[in-house]
Amino acid sequence: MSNSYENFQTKFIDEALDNIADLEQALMALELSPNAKELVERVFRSLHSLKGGGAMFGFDRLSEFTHRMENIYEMIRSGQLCVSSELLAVTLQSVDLLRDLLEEPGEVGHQLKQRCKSMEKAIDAVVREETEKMLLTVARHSGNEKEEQDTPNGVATYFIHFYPQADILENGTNLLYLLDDLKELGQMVPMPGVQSVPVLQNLNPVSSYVFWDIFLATDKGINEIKDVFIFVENEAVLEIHKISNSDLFGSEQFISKMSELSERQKKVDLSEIVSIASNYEESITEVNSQLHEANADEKSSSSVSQKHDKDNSCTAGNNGNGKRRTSSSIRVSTDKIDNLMNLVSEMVISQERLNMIASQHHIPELKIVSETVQKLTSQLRDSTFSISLIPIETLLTRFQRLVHDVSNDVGKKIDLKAEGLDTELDKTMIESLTDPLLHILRNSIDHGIETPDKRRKEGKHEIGTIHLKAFYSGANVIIEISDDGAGIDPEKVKAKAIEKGIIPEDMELSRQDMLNMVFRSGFSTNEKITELSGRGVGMDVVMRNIQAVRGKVNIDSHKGKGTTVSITLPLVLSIIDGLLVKIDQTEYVIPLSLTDRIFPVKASEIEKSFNNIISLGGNQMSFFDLRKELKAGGKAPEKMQMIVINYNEVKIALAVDFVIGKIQAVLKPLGKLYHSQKLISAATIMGDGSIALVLDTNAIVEECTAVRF
Amino acid sequence: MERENKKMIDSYLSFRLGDEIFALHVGKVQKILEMRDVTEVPRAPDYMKGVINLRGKVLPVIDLRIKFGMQPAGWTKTTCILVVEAEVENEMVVVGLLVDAVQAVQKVKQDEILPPPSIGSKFRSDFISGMTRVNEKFFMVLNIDLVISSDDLINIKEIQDAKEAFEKES
Repeated sequence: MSNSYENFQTKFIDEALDNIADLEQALMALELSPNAKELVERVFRSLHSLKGGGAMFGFDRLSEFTHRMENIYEMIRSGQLCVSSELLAVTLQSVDLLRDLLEEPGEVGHQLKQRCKSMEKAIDAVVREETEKMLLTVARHSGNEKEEQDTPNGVATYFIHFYPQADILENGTNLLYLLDDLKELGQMVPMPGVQSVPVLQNLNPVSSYVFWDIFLATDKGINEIKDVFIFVENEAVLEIHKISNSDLFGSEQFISKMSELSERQKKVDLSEIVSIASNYEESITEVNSQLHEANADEKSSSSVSQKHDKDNSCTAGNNGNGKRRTSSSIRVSTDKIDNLMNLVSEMVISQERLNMIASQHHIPELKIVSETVQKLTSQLRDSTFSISLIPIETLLTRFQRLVHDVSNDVGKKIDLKAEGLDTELDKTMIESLTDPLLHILRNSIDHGIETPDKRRKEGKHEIGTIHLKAFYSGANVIIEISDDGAGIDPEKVKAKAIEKGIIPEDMELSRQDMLNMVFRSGFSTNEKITELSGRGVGMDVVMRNIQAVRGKVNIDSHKGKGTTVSITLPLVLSIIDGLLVKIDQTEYVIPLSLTDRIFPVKASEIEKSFNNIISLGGNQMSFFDLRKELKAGGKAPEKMQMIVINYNEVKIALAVDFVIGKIQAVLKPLGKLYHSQKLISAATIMGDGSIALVLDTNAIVEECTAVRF
Repeated sequence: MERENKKMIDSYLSFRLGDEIFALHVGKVQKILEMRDVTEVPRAPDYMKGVINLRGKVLPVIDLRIKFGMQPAGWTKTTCILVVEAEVENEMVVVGLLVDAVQAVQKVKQDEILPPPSIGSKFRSDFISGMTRVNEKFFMVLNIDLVISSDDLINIKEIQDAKEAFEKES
């Protein structure tokens, strides 16, 4: 039981993290376009599911806290609050808190509790401020005539006194649901109170002693409110009064009165509220009459009023809010995907076999079938792979967030530009990339980009730019992060490395070698340890993390111009389209995505060639004879084939004996015992059951170049 | 089969490598395959014979003769591949062993297997987990996990010396 509960809990955490990520993304977008109501909706939705799930799985604090945030966005949604940068900042901070809260279900630690408290305070402060501002703007500029009149027509404020009888719970009525239903109608402040509670001995735990005084602003009319209570009418005291024909939640006085009332738990004095209401109504009519006078020049008035316009139209749009967008994705365990992938692999192998048989027997019908099957399997393969691939875009929000937060902290102005975000990578790879990328970004912000003053002095634009670019290159994905900041001084790096004892003093280093020093452990050029970069995790960890997923990191920097860090990652696909070639007795597969052209050459030409350069199709190109590099036996045939491949944008030719044709290769690892084998990335099983080896052309080029020079 | 059950069984599969006879606990051996074409993997150690297709999986094959420092032998009628399961760095690895001939499955009681004699400082006796005599024939039980994990070649000469020492003792 507890086990399955824990299972649910981890599932909830998974989901909550997704929700939080979505929330963050929506918030970031909201910053750019504060009026977009669908974004507010998204924020609201994420908060709502967090709250619900949190309460269900024992994350009480989280749920409590989210509830508070939800209220704010409810207010924005209903047009009572404007989205402001302060509000967003405080919400973003809360998002961090939410993440931390997720780590501790149930009772949270003291420190976290304190954080919650102060955060709650901060939120309240911002909300109060914003409401005031909002009211001021309403009074000063006042919105469009039409919508201002709409409000009194549509929304009215009601006072509801709801006192259920003690035995109401016996029928299984959940009073809280009633309140929830009521909340759907509009904005509401419920104030619970207790009445005639017996002494402890006589207290019946299944009886209800609670009553509610509720203020509700809604445009639905009194009948709708009555409908909510329809099933409990006979078991409760219910009074509904209309206290104002306006939305009193727009009145500052009313709101402060509400908080006072709920704090002191005093009995509600209706007459006082009514007087507040009439005051407020007057102020609105006043504004309206002013508005009539100033109507002519109102159009050019200000962007603020336009904002109101939109906000209010958002209220209108939300009245039909029953329709929550259904999610367009489902959660599937990775095991299921792996299983599917294995089946597809098996199928591809069988299909290759079918192909082979079909080509041996010249039966037209068989051929047609085998071709159809081939087409289907390759489509099936592609769509199966795409399941586990996710675009890099999913990381962007966190990056934007980091740039937003950190640049504010250090007082720098930074613009993050991103390109190629639809580049897809395996989910596990994206996960292991997050931390290194965040670290590189942090470095750029902290060390790279200069302060606005300094930038101005150096004749650069005040706002620094960090460019994030992702793209495919052959069988690799490359992610580049470049900034236009101060750059790295290689000499300084070298001096530091000597000082730290990483390298001996008299060591000769090329420029690149010096730059690469930053990847050594125990290296940090910044004198002072900042909160951002100097937390003991250096570029060496970045390097290690990326190497762990078989990637490579490169750094290039020009003093005064900026730094570029590029990460090269292999595309891990388990089935590829390949070019089948033969060298001596062994068949090899070269990934088709890397091949460019094939040229026939004479063996004598290869032997004659000087410095491994050959002229193919009019272009000079360096080549490697795979016979030699793979130490193949036997004698080279007279006619050989040159396969031109792309290696990091450079064309390089590889000499093989024959080219057999195109195949779909299911990659099977060579296993632990071949761990030192770099040139062969995998093996594949052919239709006839024999094995072909898949060449890692990048490794071949690198290895061969390294040996030669 | 569970580990516990495997231990209960006291059967050993003996095989021949040159003139020597070795044995493996039957729990380690998954199957015996006929010799077949092995796809060589370039630039690998000599004893790594290559890979074969075992029911859709790629199985690395080790030529035990080379691993034990003997001359590689041709492909004879009796040459075969033992598919064994070994533990390498806490991971189960399935690997094929190329041997000259498979002989028999014999029952040997646990207490009949004696520890290998320690002769000379150079000899790594840990490749051999024990020695025993069945019907006046000596054979050596291999510690296959270690043989496969190690990148070193094993000197058959030392093993022969160890066997002789053992023969004298008993």
